[in-house]
Amino acid sequence: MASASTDAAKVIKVTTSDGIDITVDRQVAERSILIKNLLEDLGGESTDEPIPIPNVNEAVMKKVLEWCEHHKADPPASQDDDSDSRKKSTDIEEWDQKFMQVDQEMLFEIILAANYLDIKALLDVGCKTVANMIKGKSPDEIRKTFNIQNDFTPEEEDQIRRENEWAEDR
Amino acid sequence: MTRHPAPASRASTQRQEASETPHSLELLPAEILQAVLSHLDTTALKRTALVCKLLHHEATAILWREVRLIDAHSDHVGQEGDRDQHDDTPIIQKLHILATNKDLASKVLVLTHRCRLPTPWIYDVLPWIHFDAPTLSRDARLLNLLRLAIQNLRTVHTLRIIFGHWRLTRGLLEGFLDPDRPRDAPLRKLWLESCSLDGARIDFPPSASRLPSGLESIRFRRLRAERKRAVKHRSSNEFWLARGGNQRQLHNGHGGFYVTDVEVGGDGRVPVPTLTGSPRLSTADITTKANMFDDLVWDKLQHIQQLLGNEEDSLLPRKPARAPNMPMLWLISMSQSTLTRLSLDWILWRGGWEEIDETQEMHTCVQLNHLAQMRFPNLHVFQLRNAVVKPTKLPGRVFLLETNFLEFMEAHPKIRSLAWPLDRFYSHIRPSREVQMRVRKVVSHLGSVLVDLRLDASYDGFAEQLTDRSTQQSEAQERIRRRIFIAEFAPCMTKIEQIKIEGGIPRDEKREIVRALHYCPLKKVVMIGASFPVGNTWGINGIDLHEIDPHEIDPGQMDLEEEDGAATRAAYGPTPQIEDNFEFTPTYGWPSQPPLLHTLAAHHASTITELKICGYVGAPILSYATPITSPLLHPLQHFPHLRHLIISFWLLTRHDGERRDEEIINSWMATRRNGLALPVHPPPRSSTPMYLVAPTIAHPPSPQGPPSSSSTPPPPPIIPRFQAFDRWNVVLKTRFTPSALAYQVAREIGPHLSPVAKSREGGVRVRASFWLGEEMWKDIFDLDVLVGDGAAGDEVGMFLGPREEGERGRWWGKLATRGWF
Repeated sequence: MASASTDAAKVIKVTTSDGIDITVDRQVAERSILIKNLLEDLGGESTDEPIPIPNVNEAVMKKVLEWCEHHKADPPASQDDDSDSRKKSTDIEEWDQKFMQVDQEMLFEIILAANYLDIKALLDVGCKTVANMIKGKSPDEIRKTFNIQNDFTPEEEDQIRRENEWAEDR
Repeated sequence: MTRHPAPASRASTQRQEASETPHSLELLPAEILQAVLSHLDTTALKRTALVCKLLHHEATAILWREVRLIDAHSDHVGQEGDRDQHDDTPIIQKLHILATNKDLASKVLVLTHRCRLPTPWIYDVLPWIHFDAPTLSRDARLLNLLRLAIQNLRTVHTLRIIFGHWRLTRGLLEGFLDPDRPRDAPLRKLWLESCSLDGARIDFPPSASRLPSGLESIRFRRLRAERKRAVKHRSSNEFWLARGGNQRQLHNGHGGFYVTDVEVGGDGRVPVPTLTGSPRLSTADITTKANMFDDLVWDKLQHIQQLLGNEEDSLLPRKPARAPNMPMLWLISMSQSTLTRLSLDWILWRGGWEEIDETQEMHTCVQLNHLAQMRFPNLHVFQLRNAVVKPTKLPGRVFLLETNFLEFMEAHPKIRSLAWPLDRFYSHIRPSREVQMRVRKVVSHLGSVLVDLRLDASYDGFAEQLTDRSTQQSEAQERIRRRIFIAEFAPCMTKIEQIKIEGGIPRDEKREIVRALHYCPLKKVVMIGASFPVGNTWGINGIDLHEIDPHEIDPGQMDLEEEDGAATRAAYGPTPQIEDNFEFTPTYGWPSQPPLLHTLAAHHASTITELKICGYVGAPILSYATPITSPLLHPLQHFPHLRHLIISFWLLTRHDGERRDEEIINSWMATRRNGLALPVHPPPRSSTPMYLVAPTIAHPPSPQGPPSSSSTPPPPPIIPRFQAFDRWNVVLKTRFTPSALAYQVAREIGPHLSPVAKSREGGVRVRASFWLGEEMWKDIFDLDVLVGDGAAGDEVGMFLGPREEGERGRWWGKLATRGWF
């Protein structure tokens, strides 16, 4: 989380879309590939200047940084051969599950922020959380969960059912 | 169906317009929605597609990304009460959707066609089967429907035909390779396996607007490339699939056989025995039957017949095209400018197991010379992996670093991945000094760029020897050629990360290859042989296995060499090191020395993450480790970065004097859901199931060193006892269930693995490979066990299987992730 450390080499500042400066450990902030690349581009220059993050507001940024703090020591993601099976899994570790227990608006904001800040692991957790909200539900239950209007005619629904009957089992 | 605008742009526009409104699922950018939906299974995706038009658009993009055209065993009963073995109904239904729904067809990126039957077994079926079966998928209505569908399949980038029906194969190739096919993206990858390209009209007249093919990757696998012979010149041992006809037993891929309809070769004058004893059917009879089956199929699909009648005019006229004489070479040739990956894997250059025929050899040489003369400016993967069995062996005069192929290698400096028979890099006769200089230059270049190398050699006999002592001229020449490779090629390599050594290669030559690659950062090492590559755990001529189960083998029939127990045990200790100024000098033979894994650790322990050591003769016997097993496997503990270990085990399946392979396999199949093996995650630190029947005789390594063979009590023999209850059922449940096997594998392999590797998140994924089945129909079954998973102990984190290669999830999964394609 944001730290008041005076060690300039180890902390940086980011400015959120609503104009709030947040001080954060550089190691934590660098979970974001966007911020990491920006810092690398700055090279040896001073990091006292806050980094503007125009697409993320303070509340969401704090939430994202909370996740980064918890996962700051995680090894970088590897691309081994079972990545495809991992992709299909919707297993989420316990801490992340609790972290994602937020209202839908915040959930989607976190996902969008993770996408913008290029934090793949957080984006993955967010997407799995939404996928878990869809799993096991009927079309009508999915509509209710996400407040979506049905814009199909009965004939269209019937045609989709008939066609997708032939889609492959994945 | 309404075509929707791209959700990404729509979502971003709406986000800008209504930045204060709460976010909803519908407003997520398309790429994020795709990421969410990619975590859903088919059932959930089908439900999501019914929620609203936007989610339908995204969900169908995943549901229809890949389409598989597979026939079925029919419900239709013919006039004689028999059933169609190759009913095209599911193929027709899918093609109908693709032909009529352009939006949906535009989502298809990967198209695969295969026969529903198991792919031909490489040893006893492949040499005899022909793929130009004329009665399968032969109806003109089906082929016209295919043409209509291809007109809508504008984005397919990968086409795979595996054990494909001949006429459908031709239709797919002619449709997708037509340079004037309507398309939004070019076909980039083509996989052709166990199918016939004969008669495919793919030699199109030159087109000003298109590249010849645009293919970037071609994989030919398990195809016949021999000189074409008329049906009447085929022997009565040769056959092809049919709908009705004679019946034949074929390997089912999971330890047994199935019976299916085939047509057999010969001129019909020689009577061919049939399984049913009924007279052999003529080709005309079989064709009549196929027509009758097709009429039954189409009678039930009247609406599709009507569509075909209405849409006939919308079929683009077929361009005139010829069928090339050598279609495989033609395909390669027309892709020269774009090809980056070319695999010729297990190509049958000659038919059956017959003696080598000079005319046939000339035909093969002509094809290979044509290939060697082609130039691929972008080629970086080149595989010719053929020498494992006789019908696939290269003709005697073909060498990679001689004449035509030397020029080929000189012309292709971008090759990074190479597969070639080990004894066909160099000739056994020294070439001229000028050629030697050119070879050295090529090898020196490869040394600085090659990252992936696969070597194979013909399987020769029951087990690989410690060293090659053959005295026959041809075998001695092979040995010379292999050893020139070891002395002159391997030591120049500096970048290789993956090495595969397969086939009949003596153990000392494997060791020398490992040593010669000293400067390479090897990450993955694969050794596959008839016998366990790193040592024989069965004792001399299998005497130790014979003592455990006297019925398992006959030591009089075995030719297995004994391990040097004292030297193997003397290698216990810390991770072996090699001297700083190590210089490779090949030495052969197997004098008293540490085991092969010890040498591998000495040179490559700091980089290896994946190790495959497979071969069943002499492999560790699960639950009955012999005294030498533990010392042979002990060096595994020197590999701290190991993440994957694939290792063969011998499984004793006898009970009451009978092998129980079939019952064991059936019990594994019964644990599957809809034919799919599912991963099992046991609760943490669950208690290890106790053996109720047979004890484990394992010899875990101890810090003080191994138990000496003299102090180790021999494992108790299996003594059949009179059973007052269903003792076999108890044995089956306590020894052979997937969970019992998983825990046993973890118990026997876990103690050998590095604690560092085990304590890493995910632990070490151990794949235990078993070989079992009915006599003559044995197959490989693999059990994946996660050992460790964050703990330095031998906990089982997850297990999956045992699965044969053809298990649905594994087969399709491997297809999607296959390297070199």
